[in-house]
Amino acid sequence: MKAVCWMGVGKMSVETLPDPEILNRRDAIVRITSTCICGSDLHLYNGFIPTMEQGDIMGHEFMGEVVEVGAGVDRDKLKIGDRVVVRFTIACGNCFFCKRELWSCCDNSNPNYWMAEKLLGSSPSGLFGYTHMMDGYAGGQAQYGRVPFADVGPLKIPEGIPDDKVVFLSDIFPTGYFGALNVDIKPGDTVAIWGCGPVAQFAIRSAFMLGAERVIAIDRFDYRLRLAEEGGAETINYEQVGDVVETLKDMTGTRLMH
Amino acid sequence: MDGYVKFRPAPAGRGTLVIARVLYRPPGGAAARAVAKMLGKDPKFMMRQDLRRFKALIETGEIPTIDGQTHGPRSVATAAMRLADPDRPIRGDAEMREILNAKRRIA
Repeated sequence: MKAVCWMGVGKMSVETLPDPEILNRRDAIVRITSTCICGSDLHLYNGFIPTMEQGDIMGHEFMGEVVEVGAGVDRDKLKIGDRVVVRFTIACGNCFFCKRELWSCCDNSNPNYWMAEKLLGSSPSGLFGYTHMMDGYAGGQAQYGRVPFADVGPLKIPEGIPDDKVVFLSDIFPTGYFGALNVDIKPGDTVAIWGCGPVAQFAIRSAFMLGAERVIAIDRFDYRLRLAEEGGAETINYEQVGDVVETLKDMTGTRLMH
Repeated sequence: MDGYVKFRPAPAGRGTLVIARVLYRPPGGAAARAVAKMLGKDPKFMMRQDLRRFKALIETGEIPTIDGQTHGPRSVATAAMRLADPDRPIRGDAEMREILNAKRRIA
């Protein structure tokens, strides 16, 4: 298969490699149909996060078709032919944290937890394609991927929905949604969002889903502001107004809740 | 070598506490112990890793691993380190030293 490999700081290359294989009973192999480059992949590209290794396969936002499942995978939950979006956090489904649905804190999926504890204070779960302190699982910017604990993470997608409508469920849509969720939006609220990058675009749409009446999006790039408008937001180009806070007060009669 | 393993119920139905106490005096004295730590073979750290693997096996039915997964071309230094010690996370140069220091502090 072909895969995008991290070959050193600032160096990426597409390599032809052996296809992944089942290594554990609860693994599955996915033929990847869509994959994304995350903004956080730039931190690896630029060398800001240690414990990458030359030859590591990049990518933690991917989806595809299940082509092989290990003997320990519950067939009621996942079987060959299923179309799935793979969540980027690897969760075992059995530990203290997984039982409380705190999947990103799974304390079984990252045997290199002690490296993350040193650098971050505590360790998250294992992650796809995101350094060896998250255990160095091969990523999804490839034609095939190995998915550990495959009866827990992958989300089954019905036929008829195109990839580009669902692939964002792997990471970026939940990230934007979580941001909106964290400000405790009540029906009728007005929400201002600083920055209109990809995560913010999902935060804008999530804010409306959570009941916001108005969303005011702030950026300086017209193409991002236009995309925010398409999502229903009012916009402020901060290079064209004197004072963003004063502008917000004028727009909302000081009733800006978030 | 001497020691014991205790299994004790955790409070409020939160599972089982596993407590392992191993008395082990590695041969070679303090110098050997320092070298063992450098190589990631400090007994306390290895014991902790064994307990984590045991916990994973009991809870999930398997021991999580990336050994054997497909990857791109490794550097010569990485490949040599992997060959010398398959358990050790791979990393060359300064970052590996940083991580080994962390391992020593934990141990």
